[in-house]
Amino acid sequence: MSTEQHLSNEKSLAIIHQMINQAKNNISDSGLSWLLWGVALFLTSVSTYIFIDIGSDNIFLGWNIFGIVTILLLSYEIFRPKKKSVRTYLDDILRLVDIGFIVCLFIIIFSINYSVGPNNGFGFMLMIFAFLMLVKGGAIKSKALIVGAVVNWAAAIAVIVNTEFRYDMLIMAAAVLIGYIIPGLLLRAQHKRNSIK
Amino acid sequence: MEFKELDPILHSQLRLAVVSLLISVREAEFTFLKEKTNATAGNLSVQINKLKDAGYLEVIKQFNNNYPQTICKITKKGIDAFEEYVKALQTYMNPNDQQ
Repeated sequence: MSTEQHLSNEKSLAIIHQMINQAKNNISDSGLSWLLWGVALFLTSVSTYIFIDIGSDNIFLGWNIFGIVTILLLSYEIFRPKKKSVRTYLDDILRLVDIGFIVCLFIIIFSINYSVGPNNGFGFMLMIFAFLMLVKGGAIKSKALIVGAVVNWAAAIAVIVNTEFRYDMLIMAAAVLIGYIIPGLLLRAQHKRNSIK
Repeated sequence: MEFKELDPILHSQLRLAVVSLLISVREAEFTFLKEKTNATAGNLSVQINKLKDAGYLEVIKQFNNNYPQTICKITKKGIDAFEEYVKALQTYMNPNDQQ
């Protein structure tokens, strides 16, 4: 881009328009976090179903391991080097949404162990997953995440209505597959395509 | 009908591009601005300094993982100047609207 050449009014407006669009199109998601969380939640839900089915003494073993995985994943999210060369106003808002989501999630986990019980508690968990999917999906214009949000809200109601806990785990696994893993794979593929360009 | 004078600091292709990029984000690295404007590092550096001297940009030089990093942010004065520039452009583009 040259510097001091004659600038017509139309050209000035075109530059402003083009640059603002360039900045807007810079919002993206590598999909890695969705995949990591999705796989961890999916395996935990399926393992819980299997533990119940085989009559294991410790049906929550998967969730205990998931607790440790959560700490590792959160540490990774916090300490991994951020390569972004630009910080948008949206980045700051989404960071606050992430913090709010984690706080709500820990309160739900606390309530499952304290008073609410797993049957309804996992429904509330799916409800807050859906909220995150909707906000992030809207921000990065991912239809897969928005569809995931709708599916997770429906799954949340199904989990609350259903009284047999092992089926809650199957519903949760399906919701996580549609809400986390599939959008994660799509975002990852899109991110790789954009990186090659 | 009076035409507003266009701010000479902003009425330059590269400086206008830099300010237009920074108006939409909270802050950006030099590398981001270079990539989006397709400018050479030397030219971009000179123009950023002009914007900084005019008080339109805040430039932060720091180290990130032992690598030098230059971060640019638009200032309040820069935002006001950009808004005035766009208003002035409008008077040229749609003179009837200003009467």
